[in-house]
Amino acid sequence: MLRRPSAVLALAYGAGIFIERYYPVSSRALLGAGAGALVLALACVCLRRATTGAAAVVLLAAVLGGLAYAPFHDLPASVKQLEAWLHRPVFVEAGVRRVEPLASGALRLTLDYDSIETADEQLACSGRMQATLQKASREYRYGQRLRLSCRLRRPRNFNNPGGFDYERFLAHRAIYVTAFLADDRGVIVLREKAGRHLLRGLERYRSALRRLICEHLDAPERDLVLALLLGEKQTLDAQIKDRFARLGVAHLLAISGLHIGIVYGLAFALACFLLRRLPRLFLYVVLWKAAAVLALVPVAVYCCIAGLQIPTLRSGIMIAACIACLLMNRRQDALNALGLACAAILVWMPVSLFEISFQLSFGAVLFLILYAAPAQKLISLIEGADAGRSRPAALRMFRFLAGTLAASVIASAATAPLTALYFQQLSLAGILSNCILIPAIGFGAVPCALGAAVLLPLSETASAGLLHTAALILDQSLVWIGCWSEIPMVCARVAPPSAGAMAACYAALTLVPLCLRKRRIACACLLCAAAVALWLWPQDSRHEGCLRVTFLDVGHGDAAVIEFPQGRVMLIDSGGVRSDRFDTGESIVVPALHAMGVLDIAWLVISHAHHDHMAGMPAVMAAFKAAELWVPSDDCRDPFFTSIIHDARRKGVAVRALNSASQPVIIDGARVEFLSPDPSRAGGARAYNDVNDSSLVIKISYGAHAFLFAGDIGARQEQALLGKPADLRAQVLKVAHHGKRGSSTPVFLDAVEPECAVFSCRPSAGHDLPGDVVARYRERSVLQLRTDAHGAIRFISDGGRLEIHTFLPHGKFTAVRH
Amino acid sequence: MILKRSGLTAPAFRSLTLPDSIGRLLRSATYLFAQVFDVMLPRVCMLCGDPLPGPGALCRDCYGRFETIPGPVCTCCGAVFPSPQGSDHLCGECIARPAHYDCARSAGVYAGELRRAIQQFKFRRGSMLAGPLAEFAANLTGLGRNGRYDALVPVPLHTQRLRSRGYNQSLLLAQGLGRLWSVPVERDFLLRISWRVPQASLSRQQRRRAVAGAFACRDRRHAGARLLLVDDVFTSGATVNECARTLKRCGAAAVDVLTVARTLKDHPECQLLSA
Repeated sequence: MLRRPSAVLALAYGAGIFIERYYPVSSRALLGAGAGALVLALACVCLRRATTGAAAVVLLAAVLGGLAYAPFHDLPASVKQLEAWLHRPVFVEAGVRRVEPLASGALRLTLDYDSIETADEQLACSGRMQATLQKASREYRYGQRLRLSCRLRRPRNFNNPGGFDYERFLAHRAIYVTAFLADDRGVIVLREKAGRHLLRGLERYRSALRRLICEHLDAPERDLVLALLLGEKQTLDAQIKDRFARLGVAHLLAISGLHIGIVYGLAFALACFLLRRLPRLFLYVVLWKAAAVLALVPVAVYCCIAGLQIPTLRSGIMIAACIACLLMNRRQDALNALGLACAAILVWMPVSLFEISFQLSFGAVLFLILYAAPAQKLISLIEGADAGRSRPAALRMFRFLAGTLAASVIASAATAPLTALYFQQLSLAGILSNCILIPAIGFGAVPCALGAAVLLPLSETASAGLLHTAALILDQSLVWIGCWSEIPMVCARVAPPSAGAMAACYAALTLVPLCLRKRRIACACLLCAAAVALWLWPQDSRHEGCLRVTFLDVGHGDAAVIEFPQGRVMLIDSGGVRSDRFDTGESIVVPALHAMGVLDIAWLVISHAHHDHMAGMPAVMAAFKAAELWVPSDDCRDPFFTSIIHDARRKGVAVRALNSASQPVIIDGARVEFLSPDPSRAGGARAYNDVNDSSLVIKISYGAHAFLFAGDIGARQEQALLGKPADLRAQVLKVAHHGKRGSSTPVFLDAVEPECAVFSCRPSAGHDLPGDVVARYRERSVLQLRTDAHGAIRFISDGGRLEIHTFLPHGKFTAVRH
Repeated sequence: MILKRSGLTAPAFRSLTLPDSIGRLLRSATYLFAQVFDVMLPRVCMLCGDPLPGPGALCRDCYGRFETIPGPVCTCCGAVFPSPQGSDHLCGECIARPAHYDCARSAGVYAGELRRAIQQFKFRRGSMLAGPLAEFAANLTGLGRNGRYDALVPVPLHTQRLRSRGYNQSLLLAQGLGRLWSVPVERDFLLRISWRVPQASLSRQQRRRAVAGAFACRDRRHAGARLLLVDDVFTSGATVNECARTLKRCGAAAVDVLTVARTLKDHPECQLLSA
């Protein structure tokens, strides 16, 4: 504490924020604790009790951290008063804050609204909102004042394991309202030149730069340069992103601490070189201090060109804080300087703590500092073995290469648990590819592009020349990445580690360098932590001998994951929205399956050829190896369905058409029966209702329990099912057709006798499920569970006992009492 | 006191006359800033990295490990006599060939911890060590009290050397002393006009020849003044002697020499050096 107060205080402050986020404490209790800590600290100052005083100050820092995050739990009052204005056509007046082009050609606008009105009433309220503009016919930029005609809505999460917390993500940016506009017919530009003068100028400069880049370069280099220079990585091709991620260099695509650090280092070297031309200057200032200050200028320029975005600014602050320590003529502990930078950023923006870029940057730097001394010792040990024989140049070369490799190993190891958590993959090639790509992109492409940006006002030709140089380097890198990312072993899919496993990993990483002198303790720490991490890592797959059925929350649509007792997995439907902007498979189903620890899927099932049941299938098939695809019929005219079938056949997935005539299948002791459709009417359905009625209805029985997946069948098909000899009774019924009025007839419910009904639904805003359907279930005292209200719903059956877990309200599966 | 620590007592700042209230406000803001800064980034010893309880830049242990000059010494060149008995008197060398400076004094022996500190100060971007070393020199030599000098003159580096090093260590020392004693420092009054091989590899004779005519004064502004020449290490005295000669030619009435450390003939570590 006395040696590294900044580091300790930053840690305490961060811990306060973290605890408040995941285990909220009431503000009153926090204030009380803060006052107590303050009094204790003051008392300790008076009584000269250093240790207790230090503890009190640490506690105070933690409480302040908690207080800093507390406001993010509740909706601000200005948003609460909007409640009555949501989901109805309104006019919003707002200033443009930020414009981001998306990959699909749409625009995402961040707006500061200050007035909302309808034809007859007006509400003066201010806040920030996000509007997505599907097709823009004109240019939008910072400083414009717009009048939008739209419907406002609150962002909503899909509540699944491993799901992205979109509501909180936006809340951390102070956005609580969103709007969607198909085109800009409902948008009027009221004023062009509102907003701050300086920012407008900056935005003009950025758009000139963007134009220049688009003129001279083609995709994919153009998109890469846009990402590296202007921080616009939304337009990047998904395949390129995926390749970068597979090689463990995805961090190069975002403007992170690394880029800023490299720019700073290069600028420092250049400043030293230039200042040395003026030796008389050194009678007044010390060379490296002057160079350190001068080198901050390009960093500031980079931050500005990158649009003053928060991650970039954060890296800038980190560097500036470290320089400040040096300039104050203090020999400074690196950890303490890092702590100061961290504390400065967290005080400015407490939510930074939860951003991936913050965690990756600080994690990498922290462990580079912690391991610098041991790594140096190791290198000099190896070097010492043949130091006598080699020449100094060779020795210097060796030292450089070994240092680079060591830094890469340390940074990769430090960020590996985080990448496993967020991206569910571990790149094995990361160590090597970082050694090659960081110099190429960081020291080659980024400075060239930055030079082009600075030269733009002076000479467009020179600027374009530099851009072409950057593009050349990026092109070569892309070729290299393309080759290497195809090697099968470069990247391993892993289940995300649990909280305990994460803690064990980082405890081990921190303890080893600290106890290095006591080798036995270090080894023991490492072994313990490894054991704990291995034991805790696969979070979800410790249910041997149980049948686990999880209904995912995919909005309006179906997706159910069945994990059979011996671990094989079936996915019944994977549906929901599929558009240019959003792919249910990629954004919901695949991450959820990864989070559940699923590594491959034995059976994919499409109950019928409607988008709300199959939209996510292509993404699922791309991410997982599947053995069989079950469909009600393989001759369907829906082009999307046909493309899935073709795709499956091409990948060697066996496509089986199943119907009520098919034999039941026994999987790990569970019996899978096919109740519908009849073989006669399986194919050729074209009308909407016919397709629904030809849904594949599956009943899975395990011990005393049965699950009935009714697809989208309507009253007619329900009636038809009743006439069959098959036993319809099931404890759990996946309600047919998302609970719509045409299904769930009383006779059918009487035949099924469900204890529990799962509505896989999300009625459009302002609507609810039909009252009579809900009443029918209520009359039969069936437990109704809805994916829109309960999030993902999970049933665990060991054949005799049935447990029901829902994902909401706790954000993790918790048992429901019934 | 804190102001002094933050380095804001440079003469330029002092001479600014602010309205009293603003001055007080500024001073308390600086004080507060310095306090917060001290808490968040505590002072640590610049040599060993241990936290320091109070102001200063070196811990008591490191400071205590600096080897001081034992008596008696030559009243002119400051050379240490082998026998510890007796009082200070002129040494044979100074009688045979009188030096141009009047009195040269060093604070410590160029060995051990002090040598490490000076090397860090000179060669490893350790410019932050200037303050503590100047303080050490001022405390142990007894020169410079009572405003004895009109100006401090650092031994200059040749432009080429200045360019490669990025700072003149003697100038930083002189600035440290100037701040302590409130005496002006001459940045570029004395100039080095020729540059030869670094001196460390030369013998005594060669050194004297190498520095002959190497320095020049800018003008005669210090005619009749008492000057203190400041350098980091006193080895043979050839450099400072030549500097003193140049200064006296340009009219200086008296030139004393202050160095942080000096080599001793019969000190084991220093002998190792000269061999």
